[in-house]
Parts: sequence; structure tokens; C-alpha cells
Amino acid sequence: MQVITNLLKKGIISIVILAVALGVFLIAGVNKGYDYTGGTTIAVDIRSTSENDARTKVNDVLKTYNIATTSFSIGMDNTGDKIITIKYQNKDEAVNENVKKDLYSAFGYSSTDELEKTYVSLTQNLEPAYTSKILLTTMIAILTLLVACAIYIGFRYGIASAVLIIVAGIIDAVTMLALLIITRIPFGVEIGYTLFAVTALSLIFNTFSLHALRNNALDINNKKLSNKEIASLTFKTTNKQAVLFGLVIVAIFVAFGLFTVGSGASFACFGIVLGMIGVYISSQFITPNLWALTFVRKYREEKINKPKFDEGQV
Amino acid sequence: MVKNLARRNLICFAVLAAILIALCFVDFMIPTTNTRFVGFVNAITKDMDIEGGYSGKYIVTFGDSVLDKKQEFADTVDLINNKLVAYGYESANVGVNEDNEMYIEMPKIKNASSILSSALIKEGTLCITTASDVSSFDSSKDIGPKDVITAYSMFGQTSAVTYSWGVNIELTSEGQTKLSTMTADASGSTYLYIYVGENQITKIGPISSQIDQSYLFFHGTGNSEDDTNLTAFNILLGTHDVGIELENGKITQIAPLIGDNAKLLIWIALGVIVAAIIAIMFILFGELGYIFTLLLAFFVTLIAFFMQALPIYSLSFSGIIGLAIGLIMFFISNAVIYNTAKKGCAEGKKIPLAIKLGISKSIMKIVDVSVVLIIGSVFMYIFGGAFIKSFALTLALCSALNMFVSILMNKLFTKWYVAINSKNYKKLHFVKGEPNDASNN
Repeated sequence: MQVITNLLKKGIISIVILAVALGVFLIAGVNKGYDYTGGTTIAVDIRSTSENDARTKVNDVLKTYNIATTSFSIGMDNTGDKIITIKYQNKDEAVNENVKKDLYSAFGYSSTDELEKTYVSLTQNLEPAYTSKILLTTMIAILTLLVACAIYIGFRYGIASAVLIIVAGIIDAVTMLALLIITRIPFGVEIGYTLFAVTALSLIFNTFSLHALRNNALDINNKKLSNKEIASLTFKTTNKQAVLFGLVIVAIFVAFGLFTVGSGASFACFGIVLGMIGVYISSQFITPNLWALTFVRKYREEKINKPKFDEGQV
Repeated sequence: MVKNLARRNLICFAVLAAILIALCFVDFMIPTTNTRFVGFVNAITKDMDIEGGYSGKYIVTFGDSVLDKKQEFADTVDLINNKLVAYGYESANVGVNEDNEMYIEMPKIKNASSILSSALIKEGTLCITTASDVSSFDSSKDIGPKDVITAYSMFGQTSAVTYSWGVNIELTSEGQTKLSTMTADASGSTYLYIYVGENQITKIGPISSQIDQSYLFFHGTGNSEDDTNLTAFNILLGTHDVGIELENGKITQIAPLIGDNAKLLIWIALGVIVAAIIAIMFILFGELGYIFTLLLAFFVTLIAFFMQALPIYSLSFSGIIGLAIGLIMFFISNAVIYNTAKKGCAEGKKIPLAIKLGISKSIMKIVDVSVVLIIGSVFMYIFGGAFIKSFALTLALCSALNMFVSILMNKLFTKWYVAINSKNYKKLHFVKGEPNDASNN
């Protein structure tokens, strides 16, 4: 009973996160990115206009219609002309047509000239590249890989630990999704590999945690301690390390996120940072407490070390 | 003597690590050959989000035979999607809308620009005939779209002693009958012409005897699998009665999806990570930081080597995340080993024994985590979809190499190190504890 109370106390952060996320989800839903909603792509041949001027002109036109771009890149076509490609979520065809017209006039092109009319290309209502179906497939894939890993863990640490790995993996993935909903980070293709990355981190941390718990439990010096006491002993010895490793991971992905800021990749990095919070909670609080509920200790018989004598010593 | 030998061994391995690091980046012509060595890192295939790619916008029109245009459009897009993945362009992105327009983005690998600018473009359907003029196509005699099951690249025998890449077209039983009838009177001056619309793909022959088989293999449209894939792709698109036109005849090079300076920024970020974890190891474990740096050099160069050596590997941003997690796992594995050794010393054990026990006590921890991640990566690769393949492969690679470097190489290097320093605890930032009865046994 005490263990359950303890578990509730320690798991309270996760419960709060999930409750807040559920509230935000019900009120505002998920912040869907371009990959999730689809949208519009405009390509502008900038001809002799300098890159900076072209950038300003395009941004000015988009600002007129309050359009926030998801992606803005400068490339080149097969004739060597520089092309600006903009992607945004707006699907209003009338607005898109106006944007196209304004881009013609901003760059001084004629929309009736046979050649110049090809300089602005509009592709509207593009279907989403990432859908709920793909997200569901990702979740199923994560569940499958957790089960596969659990089979190995089951052989090494017992069935209860195998179940714990699956539970911790699911909790970590769900906590990360919940934190993404709360922080309003847009959902897109990156959400897929963020989920896999967090699952991988969950496997690393929870496997280390299970290993430390089992070692402490099977240590003959701890024979008199209860599972709950073993869990808190393990927490005392491993928490410092877990915090250090967690901080290194957070620092690494914050650095990556800052270096790629403005792109989907930075959202992925910040998603992993949020996921790391869930992984730390699960590996340090939830897994040990659940382990304490399920672990059954079996001690191996101690080997009796007989004293060795050299021949002729006696 | 032992000290000198150990020092010499460590110096030799440090030189080897330096050479391997140099091999990751150097670019030179190999003397007396026409081959250029570009360095392991430069030779890694990079995906669209890191290297940039090509894009093209296409307008799809439908032939008279198409009744359900929506379904035909969906089928054509499915075919394009599936084939691009099958040909190795897994990160290709095909966007479609209700106006029957397609917006395709492809990574700068293999024949991406040829696919966008030629293989995709078509008007009319597939026709295999013995007449040199496609306008005389007779659907009752000649092979049409419905007579073809599939077309693919194949490395086939082209003469008694030669093999080369070609395209194999599998025919339905009706297609087989038509082929047999068409070539029944073949006399050595008969040719088979393959058209998609009015575009002649190839001319097969001369055919001197009747062909009575359910497939048609031809070569000469390319020297490699990638080249013949283009032909097979064009033939497959010919089985759909749609026209695919490239808007304005232009394909556009697109910048890396994660920003124009993606590569530079990623290198800086990876450099910062490596510097940070080395600094942490020096702070925590003093001179063992040198051993860790040496191990890290081997770990990173081995990863770079395998990334460029694996033909299925393509580095995308998800792969960079996998690499970051791999580096973290490597750091954690070594930190766990040295920390266990530190605890051993605090319990009164001598440095050589504490380090030896540190490794042996951590082996199963490292093996468990690595094996779990390898299993997870395999399942990620199979079920996770195209966007996660780079992540899964990188993680599997890092996990496998982590076991090798963190356990085996670490054992070797620390064995040499303790021959140099077996008494100075301060150099390792270890604290010497009071030995109890069980210690040092």
C-alpha cells in the first residue's frame, strides 16, 4: 500500500503533465505543422533580383496577407536561374491567387507574357505528407520494437522487467506527445523520429535502471532490505549519474536545436529535450517503484571458498 | 620496461587514430591510379535535408480510356511513390492536390535529376510492336498496357559469356500469346519496338525465331542498375493511361531542408558535443579522459567508415539524431565503467584491480543496452517508415561499435594505462579508500 502511495507521489508529475495536455488538447487541439495540414507551395524565379531584395519582396507580399511561412529556401533551376520556394499552410485559393498577382507586380513580371508568366508557379491544396495514419503506424512500430526488446529483457531480467520496459517506453512516448501539445510545438514529419529517439533514450535509461535495481536486490548485503528500500537505495546511487547524463543529453539537443532553428529539425530537437524529461521521470521514479511491486528475489547459494594449500605446505 | 612498452603501445594507437581521423576528411588522387580518395565523411551518401535536392511540378492529364480519373491519379501517384522508394529514393516527397498536380522533391542522389526531368515525363501509353510506326498500333495484335504485369531492372545474360544490366518486362498470358504471335514469322530482319506514347524506348532485335515466353528481357538502355531503373520506371508509367508534363520544363535545385548552412552547422554542433563530452570525462576522471578521447576517435572513425561503406545507408537529419544518441550511449558506457572503478578505489581497491573490475562489472550493462538498441533499430528499420531508416541504421551501427570499443578496446587501453600509472589516484580524480577484508582479492 505504501509503495502504491509512493508511486502515486512520484508519478504525480507525469499525471499532471498528462492532465494539462488533455485539457490543452480538448480546448485547442494539436498544433499541426505544414506536413500535417498540407498547404501551398510557391516558386518564384528571381532572375536578376539580388537574393536579399527577393527575400524582402516575398516577405512583404506574405506579410500583407498575414501568412507565416513554414519553409523558405533558395535554389536553382536547370537553366541556372535562382528560385525562391516558399511553403505555407494557407489553403484559401483567393488569397493564394492574390499572393501570386502581388508577387508578379513586386518582381515586375507580367502575368500575361508567355515567358514571364512562368516565373511564378503556384501549387495549391497540396495534401499532407504526414497524417494521423502515419502517426498511428509510428506508434504501432514503437510498440512492436518495445515488445521485441522486452523479449530480450525478459530473458535477462524476468517477465516483470520485460513488462516494465514496455510500460516505461509507452509512458515516455505519451509524456513527450503531451509536452509537445502543451508547448504547442507543431506536429510534422519530425514527430516520427522524435518519438523513436525518445523510445531509444527510454530503452537506454530504463535498462540501466533495471540493471542497477537487480544488482542491488541480489547483493547479499541487501538481503534484509525490502524491494521499496532497494528502490530508494538504487535511486540514491544512480540518480546523480542519471541527472548528469540527462543534462548532457539536454545540452546536446538544445545545441542542435539552436543550430537548426527555424527548421523542422529544431522542433525535433526540442521535442527530444521534452521527451528526456519524461525519460528521467520514468527511469528514476516510475520504473523503480513498479519494479518494487513486481520483483521476486531469488538468491543464489553462496559458494563456500575452501582454503587452498600448496602441496607439502602442511 | 613494462611502462615503456605500454607507453609505446598507446602512442602507436594514438598515431593510428590520428591517421584514421585524417582518412575521414582528406581528399587526394591515389598515386598511379585514376581513382580519387575523398575521405570517409565526404563519401557518405547524404539525404535531402542535409545535401538539398531537386523538385519539379507536374500536371497530370488523362487518356480517353480512363473512366475514374481520381482513382487513376491515385494509382499513378502510388506507383510513383512505391517505385521511388524501391529505387532507393526513400526520402522523396510526392505532394498532390485535387487539381491533378504533383509536386515532387527528391534527394540529390543517383539519377534523381534524370527521373524528374525525363523518366517521369510521358504522354500516351505503352506499346510493344513489330511495326516501326507506333501509329499503326493494333491493341488486338500488339502488346499494350494491360498485357504487362511489371517491369524491373535485372542483371541478365546477354550472350554466351556476357552479362549486363537490362530491363525485364513480365507479361500476362495474353501478352505472352501476343508476343508469340508477333514473332511467329521472325526471319532475322524482325525487330520489336517499345514505345511509351510516341517516344521510342528501345528497338530489340534482329529477332530470328519465335519468342514464346512470359517475359521480355532487353539491354542497352543503361550500364547500371540505376540507369535501367529509369527505363523500367518509364515503361511502368506507360501502363497507366495518363500524361505527365513537367511545368515549364524546369526542375529546381532546392536547398537543404534544415537550412542553407546545414552541413556547417551540423559539424559545429557535433564538434561542440564531442568537445563537451571529452571535457566532462577529463573533469570527472582526469587522465582516463585521454583513454576516452582515444576510444572516441576510434568509435567516430569506425562509424564514418561503415556509414560510407554500407550501400543502403543515407545520412539524413534523423541519422544525425541517431549519431548524437550513439555518442551519448558511448559516453554513458565509458562513464559507467570509470565510475564503477572510482567506487572500487573508494572501497580501498588498487587502481589496476578497480579498473579491471569496473570493466567486468559494466560489461553486461553495456551489452544489455546495446543489444536492446540493436533489436529496437532492426524493428524501427522494418516498421518505422522511410524517414526513420537513417536513424535506425545509425543507432544499430553505434550500438554494435559501442560494445566493441567500450569493452574490448577500453580493456586493452586501460591495461596499458595502468602499467604507466598504477598508484597515483589523484591523476584519475579517484579517492583512495580504506581497504576492507574483501578488497584487493
